[in-house]
Amino acid sequence: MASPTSESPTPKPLPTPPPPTPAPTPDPKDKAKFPTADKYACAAMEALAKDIADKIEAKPANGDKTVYPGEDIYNQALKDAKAAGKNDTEAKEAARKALKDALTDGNVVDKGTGETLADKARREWEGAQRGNPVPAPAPVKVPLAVPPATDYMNKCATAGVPLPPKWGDPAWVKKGNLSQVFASKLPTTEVWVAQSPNGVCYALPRIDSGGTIQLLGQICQNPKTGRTCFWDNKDPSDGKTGLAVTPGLGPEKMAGGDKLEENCTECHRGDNAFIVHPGTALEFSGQNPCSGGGSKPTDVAAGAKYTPMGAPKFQNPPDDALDKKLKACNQCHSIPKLSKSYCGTVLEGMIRSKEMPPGGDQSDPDTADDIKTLRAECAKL
Amino acid sequence: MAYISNGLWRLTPRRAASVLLACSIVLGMRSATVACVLYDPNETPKVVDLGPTPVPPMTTKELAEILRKARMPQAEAVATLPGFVQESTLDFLGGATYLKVTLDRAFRSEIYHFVRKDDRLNFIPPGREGWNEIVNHFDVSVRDPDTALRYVQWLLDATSEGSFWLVQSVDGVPFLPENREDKSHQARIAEARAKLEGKVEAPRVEAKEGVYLVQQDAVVGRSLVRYTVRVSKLGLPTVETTTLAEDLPVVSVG
Repeated sequence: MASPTSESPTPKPLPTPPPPTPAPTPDPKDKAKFPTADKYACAAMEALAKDIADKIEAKPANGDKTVYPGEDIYNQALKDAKAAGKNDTEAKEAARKALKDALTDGNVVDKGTGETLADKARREWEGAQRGNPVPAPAPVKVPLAVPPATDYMNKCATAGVPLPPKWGDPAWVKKGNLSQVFASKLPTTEVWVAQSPNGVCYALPRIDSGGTIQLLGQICQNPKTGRTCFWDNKDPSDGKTGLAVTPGLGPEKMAGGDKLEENCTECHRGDNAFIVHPGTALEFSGQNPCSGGGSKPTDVAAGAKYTPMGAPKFQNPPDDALDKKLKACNQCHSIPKLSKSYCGTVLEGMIRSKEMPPGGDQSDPDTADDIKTLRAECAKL
Repeated sequence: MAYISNGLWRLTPRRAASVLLACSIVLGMRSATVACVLYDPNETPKVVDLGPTPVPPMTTKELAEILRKARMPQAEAVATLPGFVQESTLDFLGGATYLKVTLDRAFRSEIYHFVRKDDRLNFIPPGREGWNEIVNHFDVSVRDPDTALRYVQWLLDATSEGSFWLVQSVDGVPFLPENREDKSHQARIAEARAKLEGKVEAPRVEAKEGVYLVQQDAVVGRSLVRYTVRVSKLGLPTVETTTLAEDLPVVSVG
């Protein structure tokens, strides 16, 4: 082994002072100017990119040693632009644009929370709007203590699936209400989301006319692995008796995918666990807050597959034979093995409401053929 | 990460004389046992019943109070910013508690690392100073290959700056988010992923001649870097780095 050198002992380092506060940014409370989280996040990313670029460019003169978010991207773009023959001003413009694009495209993440900086800005807006900050996504340390955690929670957490916060926890953010009624006859469906470093949890409280939450289904998915867990406000002892929803109701008291009598994956199957009706509160914003448009809440990464966790009946089976018959739908997403529930609740609903294909034009011959094929296959069930 | 770009650096701890003596003795014994442990990234940690509810982790308010009493400059930030504390016990530091606090500052979380032992609380600065802080102020004890690996992984992580991810397979590489509409972007990531398939190795550790030789890959900035760390039983590390790939399409850290 290498022996220590004869240098003097290193003096005790001075504590690192907090970093400089970023320049003033747009006000997330200003709903007139920023009516949506995306509008705010876009403005915030543009302001942040300018602030960072100003500081990077000032470094040679002021000796600042701070490493700024996206600085490597700025420097690489500057180098590339100069190599391409651009002058100093043009190269700096190119570097500033690369930095701004990186921030808005989600290519710069927060080291503490794993969020993109755009998502962090969205969270800031949500907190400012409701007057109660949305806490930073915090990792869960596994294994969890059993009890109070259930074995199912432990298996999910160990597999990297986020766990739903207790009901009423500030980590739940309300995204809005659904205008349509599906998968339940209760008149009101709210959409709540909780983000975690490992993915996202959705809760869809179904509320009766008296304002009482009758159903509180929760699904959490890790987009990197596709692993997904399910909970519902049912008594774990039989998996079917409803539990009253009160603040503090958490997954440790609810039946999970291992105990539920109902098989969630009869409907929740396909590329993603979440069934997203386009244009509703279920839809997540696109990654880039400046580009508009929605996206699926979790795009399971290439090479990974949405895999439900729970009792053996929780499956996500593909149907290769069906896939070979399709020409249009599977250009964007797969169609899973059909089930009665999937046909009735998901497929037929999407077709009738013209939510699919995007834009609603079902006159394209390939799309029309696919609809006929799928309806014919569903009729056989 | 200036110390990494140096390729090879050595610690100069206050305990140099005692460490040197200890290492000389160990080297002279020429241990006959050479252990090599490979870590399977696909191995799922075992779920165990830990019994009753553990003590809840320290809150930022509680940590701020300790920092205030110790007159540490981080006290105000920890007291005023929302955030969370992650605690773990470090067996290689004699059961000291590692405290990692993440503060939710606008647009950029601030992360502080502390080690608490008995009535002492030490701030762990990033980079080489952090390594020195640990070796100079705590009794490090590395007695087996598994501990050596965990010690090195912890040191690298707790003292990292900017974009830094320990990886044990290509699946851990933080590639840019996929954009299903941008085929060239997807192709670039797929190409980089394929290129790294055979390059990223699972961490390994070998006991050799009284020291432990730890190999750990990490994504540093936009490069894949292999750390080869020789670590003595008293925790004295000697670090060598090799860049395996550059200009990777990975996320940057804010």
